[in-house]
Amino acid sequence: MPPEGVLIIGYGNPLRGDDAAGPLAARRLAGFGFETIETHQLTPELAEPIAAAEIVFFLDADAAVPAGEICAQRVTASEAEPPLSFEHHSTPAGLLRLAALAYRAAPEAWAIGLGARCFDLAEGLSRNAERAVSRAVQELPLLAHALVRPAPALMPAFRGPQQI
Amino acid sequence: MRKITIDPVTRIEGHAKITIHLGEDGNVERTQFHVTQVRGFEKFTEGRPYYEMPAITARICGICPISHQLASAKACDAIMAVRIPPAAAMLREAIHCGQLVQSHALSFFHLSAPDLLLGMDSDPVKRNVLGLAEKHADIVRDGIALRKFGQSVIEKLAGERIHPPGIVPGGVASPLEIATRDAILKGLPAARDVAWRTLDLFKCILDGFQPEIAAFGTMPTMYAGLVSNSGDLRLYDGRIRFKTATGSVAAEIDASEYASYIGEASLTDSYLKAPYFKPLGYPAGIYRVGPLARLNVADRCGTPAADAELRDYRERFGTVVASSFHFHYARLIEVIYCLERLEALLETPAILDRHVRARAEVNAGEGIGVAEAPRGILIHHYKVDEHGAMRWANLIIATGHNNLAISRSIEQVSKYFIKAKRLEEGMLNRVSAVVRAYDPCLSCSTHAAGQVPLRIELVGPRGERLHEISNAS
Repeated sequence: MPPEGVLIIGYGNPLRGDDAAGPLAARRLAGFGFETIETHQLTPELAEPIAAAEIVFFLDADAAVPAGEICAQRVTASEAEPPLSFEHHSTPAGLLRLAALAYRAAPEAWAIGLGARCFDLAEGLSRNAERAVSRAVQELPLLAHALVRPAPALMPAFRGPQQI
Repeated sequence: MRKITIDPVTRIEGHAKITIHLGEDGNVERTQFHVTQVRGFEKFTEGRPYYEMPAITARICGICPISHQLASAKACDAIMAVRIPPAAAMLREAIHCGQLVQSHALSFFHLSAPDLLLGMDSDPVKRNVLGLAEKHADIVRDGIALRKFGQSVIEKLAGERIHPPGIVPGGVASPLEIATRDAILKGLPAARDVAWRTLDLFKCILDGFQPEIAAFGTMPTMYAGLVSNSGDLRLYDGRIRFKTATGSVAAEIDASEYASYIGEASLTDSYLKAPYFKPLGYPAGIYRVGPLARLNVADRCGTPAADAELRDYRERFGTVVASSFHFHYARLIEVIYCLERLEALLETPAILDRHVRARAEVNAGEGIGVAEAPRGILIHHYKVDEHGAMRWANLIIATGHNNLAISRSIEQVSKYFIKAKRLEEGMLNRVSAVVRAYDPCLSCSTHAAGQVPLRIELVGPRGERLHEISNAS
């Protein structure tokens, strides 16, 4: 059973190849009973479910992460930087800040980068992105459990940018 | 002559740029509104089966895909020459109500409320949703809740919040279940509370915007919108009524006659065409569409609470309301209307009928579908071969109808507010704000990809660029 209070938001465009990695990973994690949201991009409405969660994972394809790998990075509301106009998209930090301002909530949040390279118009993931998704689906439940019941030996590894 | 460029204009849907030309005396001489993006759905859908069009054209937009799906499905209904089952028509309209609510909530709360509640001259760094949340957290929560309700209606009735599969040629994909109906009805009271609270708040702050009301596009234009046979406001289906600037009916036509009344002028400095009322020619045939126009052309809304608000609105501003600042007011009245209409539809027993789709092959070589998108009249016109492959398409999008009016409004606002000798950001923000009042969806109207922004450029008498605002996110 997944721990309570964990929200997983997978975002990306399913018609842009590996950009679908985030939503796809979220969908697979939903199969394990996690509360998940699949979305094309981060919009202000997400502040509400974020505010209701204790721990939030943002899953996104990331060209800066080695292909096939995943990288976890702690995110806080204070990292939100202008411009923050929320016109068409936002950032995890921007949404955390909106959740803090509008709902006075401050869940712990992690950005999980899924190493990917192919963002052309296409459906389906490259092998590397598929590997990253598999790793996220495998590792994230462990991380979620560890965060809910902190294990001293594990926690320091997730206190900054960290390749898993 | 000097020039100001606002590029990109922010908090709108799509890409645009405004150029403001100044004379030797520092006053505004003329302005230009350029839409700087293009897509081309009409062309690349050639050869596709007509029944794919609702799903393809929905991808034009992430804000109002339902409107595209509805206009497209109606064009497909015409190609199949079917009359869709009554329950399907009711469900389509109910989905559309959800669409209007979520889109209007986005426009009011996320895009324009920072101007309206923080002030046109407030710090531009904080003039956004986060700045709003710092001072008015309750308003932000209301905006999120109302938009969420509209999106949940779409999701429950059509399958997904964005680009749902539920609207199909011949009707809808599946009948309404009682539990789904009840779940939506359960959420209505809270949505209504937000809508009333917001309208009351807006009425309270309205008097603080007299200069904007006086200068935000008060030029005489015609208006166009859908109405029922008895003159009620209609969003899903109806006849296209054109009214003059003084409120007389210039024409009331079936959607299939649109090409005889609407011409499209191509502009040299913008990808957005400029539709006009053909009998008056270009550019004399300038008209406006969208919430302001809809309330101007309709005799009444047709639901009790919205009609009461419409009476109050007309007592304050007249039966033909000219200032484009009042798009905001009209938008909020339409939210009330949509919530009432949604409730009425869901409480009609026939909406639960299990027969929700008519099936047929190609029975006509041509089909026209029209609906009121949140921003105004949306027209899909298709021609197909005998196998149903698309041969030709013409899409006239809501924002396109307003192109001439937006350009004139920009000029009026610029001449009224901009004093080049003491140029302040708030002056230029008002130029952007009048564009936002129309809630343009430039991605839709030119069928272009990308983000939202609009740039304002101020150009001097000798063509030198004096100032530029480019605050794209």
